[in-house]
Amino acid sequence: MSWRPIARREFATLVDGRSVKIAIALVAFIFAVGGYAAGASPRGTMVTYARRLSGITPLLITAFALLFGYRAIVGDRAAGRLTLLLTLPHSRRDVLVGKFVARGAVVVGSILAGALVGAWLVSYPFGTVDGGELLVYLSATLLFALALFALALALSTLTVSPRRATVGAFGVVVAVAFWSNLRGLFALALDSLGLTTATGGLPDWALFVYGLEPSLLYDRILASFVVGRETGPFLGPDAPWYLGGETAVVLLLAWFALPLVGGYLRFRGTDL
Amino acid sequence: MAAIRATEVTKRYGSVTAVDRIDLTVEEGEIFGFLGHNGAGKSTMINMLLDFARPTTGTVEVFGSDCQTDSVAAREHMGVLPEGYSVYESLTGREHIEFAMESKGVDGEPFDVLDRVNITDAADRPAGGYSKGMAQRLVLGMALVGSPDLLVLDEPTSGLDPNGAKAMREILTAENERGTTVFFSSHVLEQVEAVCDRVGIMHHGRLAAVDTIEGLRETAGGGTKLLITVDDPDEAHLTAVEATDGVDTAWLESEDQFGVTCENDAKVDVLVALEDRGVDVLDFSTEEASLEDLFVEYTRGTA
Amino acid sequence: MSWRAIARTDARTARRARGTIALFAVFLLAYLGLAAVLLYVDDPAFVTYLDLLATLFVLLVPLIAVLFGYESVIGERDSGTAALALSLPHSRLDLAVGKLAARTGLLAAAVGLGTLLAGVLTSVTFDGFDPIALIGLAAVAIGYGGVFLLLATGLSMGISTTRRVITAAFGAYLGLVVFGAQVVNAVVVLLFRLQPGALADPPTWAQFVTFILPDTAVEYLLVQLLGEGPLLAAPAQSGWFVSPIVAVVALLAWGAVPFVVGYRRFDESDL
Repeated sequence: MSWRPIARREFATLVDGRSVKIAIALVAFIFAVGGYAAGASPRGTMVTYARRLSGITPLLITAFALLFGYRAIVGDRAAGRLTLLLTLPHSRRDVLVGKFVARGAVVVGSILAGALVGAWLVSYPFGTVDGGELLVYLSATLLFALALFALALALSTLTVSPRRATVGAFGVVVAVAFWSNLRGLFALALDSLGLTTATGGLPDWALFVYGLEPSLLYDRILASFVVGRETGPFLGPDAPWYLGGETAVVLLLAWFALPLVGGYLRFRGTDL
Repeated sequence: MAAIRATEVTKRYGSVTAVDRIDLTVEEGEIFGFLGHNGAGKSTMINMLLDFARPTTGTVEVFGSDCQTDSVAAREHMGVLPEGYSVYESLTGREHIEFAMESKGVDGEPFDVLDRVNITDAADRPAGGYSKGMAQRLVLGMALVGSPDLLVLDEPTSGLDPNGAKAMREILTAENERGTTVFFSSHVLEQVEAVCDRVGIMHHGRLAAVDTIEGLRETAGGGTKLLITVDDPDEAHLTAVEATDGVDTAWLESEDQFGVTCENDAKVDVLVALEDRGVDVLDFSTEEASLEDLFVEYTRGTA
Repeated sequence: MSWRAIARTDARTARRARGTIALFAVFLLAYLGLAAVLLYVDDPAFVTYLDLLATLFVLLVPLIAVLFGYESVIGERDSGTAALALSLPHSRLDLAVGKLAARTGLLAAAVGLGTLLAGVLTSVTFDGFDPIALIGLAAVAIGYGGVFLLLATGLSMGISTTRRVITAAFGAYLGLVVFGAQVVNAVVVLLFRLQPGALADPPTWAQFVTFILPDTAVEYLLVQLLGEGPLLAAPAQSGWFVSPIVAVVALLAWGAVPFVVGYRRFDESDL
């Protein structure tokens, strides 16, 4: 149980930073303002809220989660604090768990606070918020944030160079930002191989691969369980089960769990 | 019952440790001098007696009353001349004494007190016009109201002229003869030397020594300081002098003078040692080690 | 009981301070100046006089109390007289209560003197003189002033630099008394997404908050006591909370909460 002191110290140093405070405030503010805007339309609901924010949140959460995760291990490692920490009776698992809890709490706390205020602003004074929808929205959003945070933390264990970690984190953000633009390119490539469907679209297996990207999974979960959309190649009535919302939840959980496990195994196995 | 009992007292301001694990007992009836440079932690210690500052750890008691949890009861035993105070500018001297009397629940004639501290003439003038020395005496008067069991004085002679300082010492001695315990801090050593039964030396937040002045002299070694004027003040001779039995230290005091601290009966040996090396002793004098020397002795090397 | 010694000393000090002279001057000017103006424009109706005076007091009394109270503790800490007072056997609570008692006493004396002189003047020259109403107004003014003295003393204890105490004290005065209702209205308008008509029927919570603002609460109490006048109007709010008890409790809380919080901080800090 010796991760607790690590988490406490990590939390204290983290929230001391000016840029960290600005990032927290910005994220919470955007989630709250989304509620203010969504509640302005008559009879605003969580659906309005989710739609309002859908343009900005995937990228915002990605950048935010990466920001808190990408230096978690490598920063301490490069500065020599990690060796210092491990001269004390902490296991490497304690270090990882402590960092995960402290930084994860900040990520989750900021989004949760902003989204709760946002939901309240949706409901007051004109709209209504369904408790179930709110719960689903929060769970999906936090799961998405934690998945990217776990990815960032894993990245942070992979390298000893903070510069490489920065490049890696930047790469993840860019990949998430541009992934959906690559759909046409896929279609083109598959078409040249003669693998597209009769109408020139992607076949189901290719859609599955393309749809593995976390922000698309997040989008699909919201579309499926909050907005309730039942059209399109993923959620339409003809789509196979593995393109549906339930599968997206499982896949996003995997995005959360696999990097954590991988990062831990990697971190446990390397020399410092 | 001890007048003051401090147990493992530590006071930290952020990362600075102003007072470091002090254990101190001041017995009833003694005059205790609290010595140290500015910033050594004396005032912090006194502020903890008064509950102006709270110990980070440890406790301070005055006549059995905890100075933090029971601070009013503790201060009921005390008469205090604090540091960094200011008088009420628009109130007269007499009104100040009356304030102290009301505060301590004492009936009496303010002029009796004003007489003792010798500001009767200015009794009905606003204290804002008092000199530093007069203000100091006025607040001493306030401290004396109600014949406290313990007088706590933080740098009592600062701002006083030599006559004022002498009068202050006389008042302290007189109070002490009536059975009052006196605890005062100072960085002026002569005063402490003149009146104190025991002395505590604060240095960098630690209590470097607590003893009688005689006791301090003994433990500090030497006891006698020799000043020897010679014709050949070569530093090489100092080593020879220091090698002599009974000598504590030897140094170059000035251009043609050695300084030596040694036991009383080693004086002649020192002179002989110098003669043996062919050094002509032109003149020499002895002086008893002052508290200043002891102080330097105790605070050196621990810096 | 040792706050009495502090209070006596503070009253003595204050008696010789310009601030106290100003305190008396302002209240005498308000009481007598207003009477003189009414006599000059030849409308000597006592009801009008009382109405004007009450309306003036709603804004003026808290300002005076804040001015008169903000430096009570921080001033002593800055100058070092607090070190002198607390080297005597007083607790910090004694110091705070003594200061507060002295200043409330002086405020009461100023209001009392104004009431007395105004009573003598208006009973002769005005129609419909009503001594009970005049004394009632004085009592409410003293209580209202006491609330802001509590608040100012609380700030004076809880904040460690004079400049911040001044900022906080004036912030409290402006935010609560002068702009309090506007702030509540602005929040309502923003929450109702700037739609016109939001203020025509504000939500219950906004009405409640507006009602417990010190100026609204005291105005309500004054209307209960003196009746409505040309200027003095009953608050627009309606609801279960529009009652004298809620108004009194709210006023007490505006004073007591800052005082208790400030005292806690003062008591925990090094001098």
